[in-house]
Formats: sequence, C-alpha cells, structure tokens
Amino acid sequence: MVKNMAKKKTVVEVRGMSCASCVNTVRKAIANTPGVINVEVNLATDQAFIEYDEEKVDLVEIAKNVSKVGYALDIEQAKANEELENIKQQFIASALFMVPVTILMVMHMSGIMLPNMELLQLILSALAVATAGQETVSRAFKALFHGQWTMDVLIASGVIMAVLSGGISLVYPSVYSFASVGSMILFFNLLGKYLESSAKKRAAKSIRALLDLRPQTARIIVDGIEVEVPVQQLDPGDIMVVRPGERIPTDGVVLEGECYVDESMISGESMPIQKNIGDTVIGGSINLGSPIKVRVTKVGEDTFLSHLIDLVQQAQAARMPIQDTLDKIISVFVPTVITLAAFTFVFWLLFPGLAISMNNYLSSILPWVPEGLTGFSLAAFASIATLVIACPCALGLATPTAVIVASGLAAKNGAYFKDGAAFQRLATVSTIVFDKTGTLTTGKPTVRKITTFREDVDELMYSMAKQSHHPLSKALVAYFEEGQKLNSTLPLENVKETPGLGVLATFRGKVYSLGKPRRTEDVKDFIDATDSTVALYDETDQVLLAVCALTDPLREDAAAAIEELKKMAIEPVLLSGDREEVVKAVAETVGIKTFKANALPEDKLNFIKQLKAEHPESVVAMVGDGINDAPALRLADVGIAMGSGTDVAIESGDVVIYKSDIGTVVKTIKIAKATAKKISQNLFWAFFYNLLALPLAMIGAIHPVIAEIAMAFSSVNVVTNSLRLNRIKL
Amino acid sequence: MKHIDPVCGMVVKEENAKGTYEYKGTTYFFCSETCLNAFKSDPEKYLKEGPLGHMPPEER
Repeated sequence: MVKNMAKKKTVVEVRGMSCASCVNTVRKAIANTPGVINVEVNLATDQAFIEYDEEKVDLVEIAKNVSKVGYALDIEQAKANEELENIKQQFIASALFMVPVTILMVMHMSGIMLPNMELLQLILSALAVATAGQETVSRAFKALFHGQWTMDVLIASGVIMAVLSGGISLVYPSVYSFASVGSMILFFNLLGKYLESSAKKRAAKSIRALLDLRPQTARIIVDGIEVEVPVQQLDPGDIMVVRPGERIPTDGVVLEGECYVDESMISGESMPIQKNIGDTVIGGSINLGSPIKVRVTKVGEDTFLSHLIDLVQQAQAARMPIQDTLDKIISVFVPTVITLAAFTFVFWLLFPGLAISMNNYLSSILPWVPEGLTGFSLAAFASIATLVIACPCALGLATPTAVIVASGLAAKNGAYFKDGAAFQRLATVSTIVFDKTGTLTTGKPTVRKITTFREDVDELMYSMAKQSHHPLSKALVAYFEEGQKLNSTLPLENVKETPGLGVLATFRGKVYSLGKPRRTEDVKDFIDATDSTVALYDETDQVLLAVCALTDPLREDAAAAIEELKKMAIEPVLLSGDREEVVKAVAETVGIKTFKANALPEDKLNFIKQLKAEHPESVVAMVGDGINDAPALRLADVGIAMGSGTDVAIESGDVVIYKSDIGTVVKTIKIAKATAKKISQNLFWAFFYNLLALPLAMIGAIHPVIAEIAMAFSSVNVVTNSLRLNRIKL
Repeated sequence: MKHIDPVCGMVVKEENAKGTYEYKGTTYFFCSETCLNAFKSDPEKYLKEGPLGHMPPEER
C-alpha cells in the first residue's frame, strides 16, 4: 500500500562498529543529516533505527554521511526488505480479493447462479484495484504523464477496463463482464513482482554472507607484543598472528608457519588448501592448521573479498542487454495494443451492421460467444477484451527469474558474472583462448620417474630435498613420504641452499648436491623433453648419482573438457609463454589444434585482434590471470579472469572464475548458454498465449475464462522454466 | 610503523603520533599529549608497570 506519509521509520544494519565510541560517531553522523527526526544505534545488534522525513532526505544520503565517518549502512538490504514488505502487502491484498472472485467464477461456469452475482464480482474486483492495484495505477498515470508507454500502463488500462466492463455488463447484459479477469491480471502481476523482490532479497543476503566473512579484529605484533586491533586499523606491512580456527583478517603473505586453510566460502573448493611460507592467503578464509604469522598486503577495498562483493553487487544492479531490447518492444507493443483497442471500438461502432452479422455467425459456431450483441456492445466488449488479453503479465518474470537462478548456480560452481550482459556474450562464444598451460594442468609437479646409479641414495635425496623450499624439492619430498614411506632424515652437515642451483650438504665427509643438472647430456637419456629435471651429484668424486624426472600432469578432466568445448562448436586455442615442447605436448594430448609457444603478451593481443579482423562474427573469450593479460582480457568479447590471479586481471574480466581449472570454464559456458536459452523461451511463453488470443478478442470471440487461462499458463510456464535451470547437467 | 603507547597501551602509528619522547636510547610514541606528559614526568613507572590498559582517550 502506498505510504504517503512523509515520516518514515526503518531499521538498517550498520557495519564496522566495535565500541561505544563507534556508536556515538554513527549516531551523530545520522542525526546531523538534515531531515532525520530520530535515531537509535544499537551496538549489540549492529542496527540503527532511523526515523526520517522522506521528502527531505533518503537513505542513500544518510548512508553517505555514515560512510564519511568510516562506517557503512547496509541500505541495499534495508531497501530490499522494504520493497519486499510493500509488495508482499499488495500481493496479499490482491490474493484476498482474487479467492472469492475465483470461487464465484467457478460457480458461474458450472451454472450455479446467485442473485447479484455479477454485481458482487464487480464490487470485489473494483476493491482489488482500489487497494492492491493503487500503486500500479498511480505509477501508470505518472508514466503516461511523462509520455512513457510502460508495462504499468498496459496492466493499469487492462485492469481498469476489465472493471469497467463489469459496469457496462450491468447495463448491457449481453456483454460479458471481465471484472474477474481484472483481479486475476493484478494478482499475477503482483506475484511476479513479489517473486522478483524476494529473489533480490536473497541476493542481498548472499552479499551479506560474504560481508560476514570479514573478521572484525586482527591480532598484530607491535613492538614485539601481540595486540588486538579493529581490522580498519590494519596497514599493509603489519604482521598478523592467526591462530587455528580463526578467520584470516585480511589478504596477506605467510611469513612463518605452515597450515591448511578453508577457502570454501570464497571459492566453493571444499578441500582445505595448504599454505606455506611465501604463499598468499585471502582475508575471510579460515586457518585450519597451526598458528601462522601473516604479513598484511591488502586492506579495505583492495582485498579479494571486497572485489568479490563489488562484483556480486554490480551483477545485481546491471541490466541485461535483452532487457533494453524488451523495453523497446514494450514501448512499441503498449501503444500498438491501445491503438488496436481503440481501432476495434471505433470500427464496430462505425459498422454496426457488420458487427451484428459477425456476432450472429460467431455465436452460432462458437458456444462461448455471447449472443445478440449490437454495434455498441460489441465495440465495447471487443475493445475491452483486446486491452485485457494483451497484458503479458509473465513478461516481468522472464529475464530476472532466469538470471537470478543462473547467478546462484554459477556462484555455487565458483564463477561470478560481472554483469548480466556477460551471460549473453559468453553464451555466443565461438573461440576460447587459454593463456597458459596451467589452466589445463594441475599446476603441481609430481615425480614421474627416478633413475638411480647407486643404491641407497633415496634417503640422501629425501633428506636433502627436505632442506629446500623449491617446488620441485617439495614434489620430491612428497614422493618419498607418500610413495616410499620415508620419514627419517640423515644427519646432514653444512647444508646450504643457493637459489637457482640447489642444495649442497656434507654427509659422512662427502659433499653432495641436489638441484639442476650440470650438463644436459648427463641426463637426457633418462628424461622426456617436457620433464623438469633434478639431479643428485657426489661433488667430492664428481659422480652423477640419480636423475629425477618430474612433470606437471594434465588435469584429469582436461581432455574431456576440450572435447565438450568442441561439441559446443567452440574452438580452443592455447597461447602460452611456456617452452615449445611443453605446450606442444599439452595441446596434442588434450586435442587442441591451434597453439603457440613462447607467446609474449603482445602475441596474445595480436592473435585476438587478427581473429576478430578475419572473422568479425566470431565471439572470442580469453582466459587469463596476469597483469600482462589485462589488455587481452579487455579486447576479448568476454574476458574470463582467474580469481587467484592479479587484481588488474580480475577488474578487466567480465567473468571471474575462482577455481583456475578448465572444468569450471566449461561449466560456466554451459550455464551462460542455458541462461540465454531460458530467457528466449521465457519471452516466447510470456507473449505466446496473449498474442494467440488477441485476434479473437478483436472480433469479440473471446470469453473471460480464456483470458484467465492465458494469464495463468504463461506465468506458470515462465517461472517453472527458469527454475529448471537448476537441473541442467554440468 | 605502529607502536604501543607506553602509558595507555593504545596502538599508535608513527605518522599519527601526537608526541614522541626519547628515553635511554629508545623512542616512544604517544596517542596524546596527556600520555606524553605523563610519561615524561615518570618514565620508569610506565616502563616497569606497563601500560595502564586499553582505553580510548575520550574515556580516560
């Protein structure tokens, strides 16, 4: 119901408050905003109760003042709540009238007549329009006043005309009363709006869930002492201490300790991820292992989580290009329908003879057509029916229901769409460029083969590898611990690690080295061209003791994923900075025909430019994660940024995929394709029944029940069709 | 760099410090002049007993 009072009360959540002085600051900031009448701030519930003059100030203005002093009002949620509450009231009101009207209608249809039945239906429907429909009607008048032909105009004219037909029918009993159809249109229209805003509220909730991941305080080391401070006071360079079970307060790099972290809320990845010294950790993830020290790298708006929240918010605010097209269609459709109705009215009025003979003919072949209509009554009946039947109440549901279901599905799979338009562009992709082999491989080197030239060197290799932080050494350690069940190390002396060369150590008077092979010819017989190699030498006697061949294995699903891309008529391309042998091997194994090794960032950019020049109709998607990928991501029709990559890449992308693997890329494309398809189907269903019935209405060959069935079917079709997105196979 | 105000125990950023005081070769940073003056008058007391506790200046 419309709230005409200027005074408005609302409850808004406040973020960032941690002490009593915060409460004071927030209260002052709100109270000093002109137009605010009364304010209470509660620290325990993080809520502000605000009473304000709606004509003088709005929540956005109040929120601005609050953010100036360093806190935030969650007005999105407040707005979503308010809108939902408002529409819910209208919806319930329309349902209350709709139920008795439907009962009367069914009685009428089954031949049970009550005295003044039509009058009763008319009164109920008129009341529905006056209460539940009041806001729609007033919005329609406002739009008309500004010369805009919106859906509200059509709905309002349809509903009003329907009620009017009830009045006419009292005078000319041969004219059917559409009054009950009026309350039905209103009901379905409000149902659509109600579903839409409850979905919006759910979306606001998912943002809220992300926001809740941000811890309030952090423990940092100051002058050698651990001190707890609010996260707002953190600066890059601070050293945080994160205990097991705690959330990591903000993005940083591990300085001390090793642990597993749970990043599932951010990535959807359910397995804990190991973090060692030098690894990046994300604010909001949970430390599952031992205590770690983390050096802060990013705070506030710069953190990964903040970027993610921005993305989700933008995605919800953005309009789909199809929605603009739809607005154009509506702006033509609505005046066309109104013109048609007017034309119908004038036409039958001008040719009453034709009207009578047509009515006689139609009523003789179609049992539901009213008999004995005159020129005027047919004119009124047909023109009203035209206006009423043309209301595509499901139209408002077509796009939002599909996008909402799809966004949820995408997020569940670790993909975030920057805007609704990205869904549509990704759906039409014809070429996809992978920027590195890492997307197709596991990114974790593993031991493929070890060749030893002396017995009993395993323990020595294990002990030396254990002393090194190099990824290949770690792979060796994992191999010996998991594969060979080694866990005791030899007492090494004079251990020294030189970056780029390897580990030197003394054992029983002899010097050994574990690292890069000295000469390629030493090892070339024991490795493949695509292998990374580690060699163990006896430095005292200058003998080669062992050669380890390591590879970065392909992801299990890589070949199948490429196969699926091809099935979808998308050509995969691999442009990698890696060595020729590696790129070639990867491309050939998974079945990529077009590939280029040693590719520089310019090469990637040029490739996309050239492809678009040669095939202007092609839609190119680019997958990347580095700073140097940003230009290519922007140039591509769809930039897919890997979430673990750099911020620049993330900001340049249209879609952010948190899990850097090809399986997620394929799933995301499938979701986009399915969404675009659903939207088109929905639009079809929204118009289908109405357009089918329109010509019948114009010749006066329709019955109110037909109109009702059309309305109900199109709405139900659209909603269930969108919900079916959840069932697509990924 | 952040430091702890030896009088009130608050975390003070070097660039936001309202006062600094060098005592026995160490520089101390203060959240307010009140803390600075308190420290100046009897540094040993605060260094021995430690900060009074976490109290924002307006509530002291």
